[in-house]
Amino acid sequence: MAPAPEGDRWGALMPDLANGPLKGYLGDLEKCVRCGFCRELCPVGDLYPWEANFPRGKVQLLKALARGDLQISDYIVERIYFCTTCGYCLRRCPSGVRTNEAFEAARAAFVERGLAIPREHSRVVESVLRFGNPFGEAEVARERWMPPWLKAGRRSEVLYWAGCMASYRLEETAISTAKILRAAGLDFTTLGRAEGDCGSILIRTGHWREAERLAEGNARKFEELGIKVLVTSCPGCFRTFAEDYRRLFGIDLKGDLGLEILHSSQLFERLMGEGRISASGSGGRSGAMRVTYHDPCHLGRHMGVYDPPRNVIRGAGAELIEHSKSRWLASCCGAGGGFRSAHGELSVKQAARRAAQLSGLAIDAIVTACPFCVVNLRKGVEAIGGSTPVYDLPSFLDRAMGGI
Amino acid sequence: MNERLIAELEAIVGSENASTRAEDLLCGSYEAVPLMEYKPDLILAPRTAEQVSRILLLANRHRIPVTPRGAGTSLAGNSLPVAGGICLDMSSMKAVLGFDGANQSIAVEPGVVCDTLNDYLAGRGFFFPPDPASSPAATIGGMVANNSGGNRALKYGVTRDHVLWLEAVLPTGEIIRTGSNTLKSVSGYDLTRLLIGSEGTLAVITKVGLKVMPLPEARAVSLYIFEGVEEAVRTAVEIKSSGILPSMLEFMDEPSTRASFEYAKMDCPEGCAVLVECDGRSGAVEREAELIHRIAMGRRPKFFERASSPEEAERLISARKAALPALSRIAPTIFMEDFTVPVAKIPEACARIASIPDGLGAPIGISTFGHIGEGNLHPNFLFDGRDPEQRRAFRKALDILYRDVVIPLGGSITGEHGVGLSRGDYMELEHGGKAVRLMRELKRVFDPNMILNPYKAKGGPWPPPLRGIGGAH
Repeated sequence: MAPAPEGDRWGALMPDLANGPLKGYLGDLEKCVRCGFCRELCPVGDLYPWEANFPRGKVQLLKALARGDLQISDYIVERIYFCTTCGYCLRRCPSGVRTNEAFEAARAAFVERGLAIPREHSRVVESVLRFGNPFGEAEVARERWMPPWLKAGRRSEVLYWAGCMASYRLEETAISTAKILRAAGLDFTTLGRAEGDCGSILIRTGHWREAERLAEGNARKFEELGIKVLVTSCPGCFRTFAEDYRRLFGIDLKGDLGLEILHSSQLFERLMGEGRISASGSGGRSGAMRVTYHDPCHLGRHMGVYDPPRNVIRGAGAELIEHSKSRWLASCCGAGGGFRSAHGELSVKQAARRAAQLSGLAIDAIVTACPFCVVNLRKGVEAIGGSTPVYDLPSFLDRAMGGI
Repeated sequence: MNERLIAELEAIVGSENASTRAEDLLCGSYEAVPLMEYKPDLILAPRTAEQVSRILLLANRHRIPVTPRGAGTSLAGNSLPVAGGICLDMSSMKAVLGFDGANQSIAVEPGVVCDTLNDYLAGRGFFFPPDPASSPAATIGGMVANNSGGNRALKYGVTRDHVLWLEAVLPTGEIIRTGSNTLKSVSGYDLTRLLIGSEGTLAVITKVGLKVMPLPEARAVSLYIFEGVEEAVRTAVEIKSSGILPSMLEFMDEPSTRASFEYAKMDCPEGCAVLVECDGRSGAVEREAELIHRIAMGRRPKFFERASSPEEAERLISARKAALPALSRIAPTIFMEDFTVPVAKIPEACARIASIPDGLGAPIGISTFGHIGEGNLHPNFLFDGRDPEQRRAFRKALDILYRDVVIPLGGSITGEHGVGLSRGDYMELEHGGKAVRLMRELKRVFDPNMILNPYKAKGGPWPPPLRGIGGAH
């Protein structure tokens, strides 16, 4: 039996949408059998249980829109932006509907048509384009975290891409990463103020044309530097370089430039395996620390990197306590996909739920491998009046190595 | 509905919990059943029983249809607002009200999701046994209203067997409490059991008292894949007759097996699957699993896997649970049916079902899976619902299934999905005219103006305005 037709049937009904970024996803929308499995762990649906907020509802809205059963409205645009792009629905869907990729594509279609996207996103995009970071910070401030011994722009085969979050908002991540790489005797460089934005936030919020320009610029930068290995702190940067550039813009950093793209957790795991770094795990206290690991959505569900951070935690001598909602079932921290910038309060509410879930384990700390998750989860812990410390993996490892 | 009435109804729940937007009405027009869509005029998401009561009072006064809805996972049109009116979205009432470990009971609001409840209970060493495939989304209110069964009914029974008491709002607005928080009670007619499985036609459930059970100490899950349906079914029947009571005894034919395991990213050869779970005390479970293994191996399976960790067990079970949506990888439309026959009649039922597509005059595929231990099978009709000819052929297939297979074999037209919209035609065939008239009279006692989930289940009035699936009406 033939699967649902792609493109053509939709094209006849609404050529405008069918030929845009959503084109490749129209067949996916048809595959949805409305089973509702995606309702289970959807963070935004749980915050506001209203069918149009759940992935199933969003899929039906897009389907109706593309078929011409509904006219585009601000309400539909808002619903499609009411999503952290955590990817739970994408992994959960037994029918194989690429839900959250379709939502990102719909956002791109909305932006192309100049529809009313969240105001906060427009500001973020403007900042990225003007200042090279989503915060509107000065380019020069990007170097603030850099220790004096680290010189930007030096020739090396390994480039550490600190990313906007670690450079501007969680300097401890970038500082610890540089210290660990130095301790391992690894020759590496950074870009300092010339680093700029990877384009992740632009892609998530539907600004694909602008993201493509950034991608082209970044690919040129990497080529000119002659690097062989690209290391990121942020799972968002990691996914963007390793997957999205190729999937959306045909810029294949691995295939065309021969780059090895690693999340820092993968590099740490490798360096540990080679015996180039070692850690006691005590972090200055007696007995092994009991920690749980929060899987960042873009590292786990989207990129399938589950074990390296866990191995690093264990390698650092800590006892890893797993929550039942971990790995691909991990609840989102509530920060991603432009959700934190557009829905600050709800984002922290979700972080508080995740923090409460994890703090329920008898643990000394929560470790994650994403500076954005760290910032939001700390707010979550604060919101529930808790005291469980939240570490990014580099800071945790640095402590265990006796650095902090 | 006039604007004034809508404003009055919206004021009860607050504007953020009410909507007449076209987009939201579309989102209230479907459930997991394909091809059937009916839009409500207004969606209300109440937070308390008092709000439900005020809504029903007004609706009853103005004769406005009200259709309660949980997560919208039903498969027979049970939660579709056929006559328009109000869609009462109960999924926001999702608080756990009180857990009592000593009495092994828990009180919850109807919007609590089945898997969420089990996560909560697991942390306390307990579980709520009914386990429909839709457990990731299905709400307790919906499960009670439809008397959900699922994978573990063979040993643990269905939702009905785990409900102690209910709080519900009658269509006339009164709040009643049925049952008792004790394990035994025979005082009066059993209104609890009457409301359970009434598909939201008699009252709106606002609180549920559930019986829970201590988590079993151990469980063993194994999968066997056989060349054909016959060996798989005979293995299951033999396991059941061996004196062991498995907690799960599931069957999937070849297409269902392939689609499910493809979803679970598991390699296994083509064939028909039997999935068995035993649970209980650890030593006993191992002995039972060994006996089951011997029985299954005696029928020469092409493949077997015995889960060696809880994660592996969960993977096998979730592959089975995903069978229905995973089949969407094969055909654009999957219409899932649901019947029971005495277990010994299963091989004959399977053979007869396999021949249904012959002579339909359109390419309708069938893939069957189900809870073989209870004689509860789900034949799934695979076709392209956009083609009117295929829709007509499907309707004919349904008629053959119920009139020529299920009823003559002494079965029931629905084991766990409910009558909803799609099985109303076959009610008299199973129960006879007098019993069905009695059911309709009962409906009228609860709901004199027939406002609550009209046209569904046993309640009538019939015939419902069935459309979408090429209905006979």
